[in-house]
Amino acid sequence: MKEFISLIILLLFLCISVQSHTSYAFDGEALFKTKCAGCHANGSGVAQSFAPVKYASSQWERFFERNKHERKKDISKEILPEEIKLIKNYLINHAADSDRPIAAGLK
Amino acid sequence: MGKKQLASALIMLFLLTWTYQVAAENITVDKKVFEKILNHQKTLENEIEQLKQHLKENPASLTVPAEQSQTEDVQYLKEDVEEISKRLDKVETRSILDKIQLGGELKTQLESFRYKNIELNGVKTDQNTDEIWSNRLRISLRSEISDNIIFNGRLGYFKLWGDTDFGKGSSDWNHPSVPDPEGNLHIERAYIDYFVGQTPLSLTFGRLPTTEGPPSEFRNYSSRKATWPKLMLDAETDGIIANLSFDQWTGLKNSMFRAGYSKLKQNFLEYQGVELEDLNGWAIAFETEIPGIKNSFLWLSYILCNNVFALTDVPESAPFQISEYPDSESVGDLGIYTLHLQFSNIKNSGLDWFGSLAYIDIDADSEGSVLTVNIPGVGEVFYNEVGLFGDRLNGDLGHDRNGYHFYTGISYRLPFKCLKYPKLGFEYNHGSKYWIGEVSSGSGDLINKLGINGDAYEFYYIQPIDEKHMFCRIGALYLDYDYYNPLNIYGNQVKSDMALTSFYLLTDIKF
Ligand code: HEC
Repeated sequence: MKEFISLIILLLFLCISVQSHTSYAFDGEALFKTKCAGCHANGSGVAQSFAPVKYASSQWERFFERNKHERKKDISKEILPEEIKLIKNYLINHAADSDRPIAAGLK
Repeated sequence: MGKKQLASALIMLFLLTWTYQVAAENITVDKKVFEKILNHQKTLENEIEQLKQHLKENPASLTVPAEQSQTEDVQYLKEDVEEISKRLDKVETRSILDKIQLGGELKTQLESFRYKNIELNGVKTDQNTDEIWSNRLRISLRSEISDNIIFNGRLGYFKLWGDTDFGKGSSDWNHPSVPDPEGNLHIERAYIDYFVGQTPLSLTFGRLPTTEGPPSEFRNYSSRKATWPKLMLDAETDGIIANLSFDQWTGLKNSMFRAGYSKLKQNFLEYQGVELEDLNGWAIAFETEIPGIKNSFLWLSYILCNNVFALTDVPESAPFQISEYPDSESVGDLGIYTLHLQFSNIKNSGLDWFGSLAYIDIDADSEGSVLTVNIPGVGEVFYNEVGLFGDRLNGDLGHDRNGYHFYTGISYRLPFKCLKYPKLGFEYNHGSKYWIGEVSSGSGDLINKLGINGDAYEFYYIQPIDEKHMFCRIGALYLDYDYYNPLNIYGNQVKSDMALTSFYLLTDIKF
């Protein structure tokens, strides 16, 4: 029953590690989906919906660095700088040139 | 009259009045000089009056020069925009014509193997290979043909350094002129994803993305790269899959139901009376992210393969040959149930875990390939008849079997920013006596640890060199065999105390 002992050890390790790490409150993806998509939803009448693959990572970088959104709409009241940072991270990590997942039927 | 002139006139006037006063107070001035100054002042006053009048009549005249410079700027801008859009048009035309996006991955690997108790010609011995170098190149292709039609492909090249087939007269030196299968690009994947209108249904067909599936991404420092888990089936498959996304209906994130059909062997000579049964695969699967657990992945599937082909090749060193095949060259059917669960970056701790369980239900036919030996003076003599995990001599030909495989592992992203967050990983897997290793052999590793009937342990360290593009992995692998069958899945499973220790170092670059 070597394998079951290893499994139990693994699971124990897993539980301990999960316990010892405090959970995080901020999550770029969730923020993007609530804050940005609040306005960016097809049919919302405010702005078109879009996915992170809209731009490559360097383009997202520039978008935030030059604060390009301000020209279209000032969102500094709705979204805090801390949140923008996390959203920016999420968008860059899922940009057109990121290591995208592959499987049948994934766009 | 310009602004400047007006200003100098004012300054002069001011100076004049000031000196006048000074003169009145302190100095006596010659009358002639005084009249001259007075006249001059009058002319100046006249001029100022004229200026004022002019400005009253033409209030815009003050800003005339400014307006001129602005129109110049606008003119420049217009020219620039025109030039840029002309150039952009060219770029756009190019990018529209660039129908295929190319990507690539190059892996260079050094491995060493140490076998203990390996059986060669009936004799147990140890065997070491200190270094095996290999290159693997993958070229990926993608074409977004339209919003609804996407092509994906991957070409692969995998070759041991300096390994060429000298018998064919080809070597690395003359490769450019002599085609050699060893160095050719091979088509690993070529499929279309067709998304049916605005529905959640899509069809995937062609040579499917079915190799190196989850949990390979942990070891390969990448994202998910195939449809189904390694333990369900890790092989290049031609077929068709219907995918139904459940996200919209159920609120389950990344949830999908799939049904697939594939042919692993096809008898295209049936019309000539060749009686071979096709080896077909039917699969149904469901996958989803577990509600409330970000980056989790749950997979459940069943795949049925009918008409598993009979033994048609024997090792060169074998003392027997095949003299007769079973009907349709088929030895039975099998069903594989797979449950896979994985969590990536659990609660942002940098820890990944996966557990994978596969169960094979083997329905063996009571016929197999007949083996004979040639005895000089006597002729061909019956040796044995081997089917799926059974043979005539043992009397277990046609006995149904069950096999399972269990595979688990963790990896942990070390919190060392200065080292670019390296990863440590440990994996363990166990294959039972009747596990069919063929099911998981498409991964491109020289050693298919998931093919074992026994236990395998692997420990690795991943050092990112460039967070997105390049990493090194160093690892150790230990395989402890319980059974090893030189005839693979045919005949009785042979007990074995063979063990294999392997160390490897590889570097992988994605671009
Ligand atoms: C208060 C509503 C609102 C919010 C919140 C919002 N946007 Fe926008 N966004 C707009 C509007 C309005 C436009 C302009 C749409 C247009 O031009 O058609 C726009 C345009 C854009 C564009 C296109 C810019 C361009 O140059 O074409 C991008 C990209 C974008 N937003 C990203 C974001 C991101 C990322 C977030 C979240 C951090 C976000 N938006 C949040 C309203 C919003």
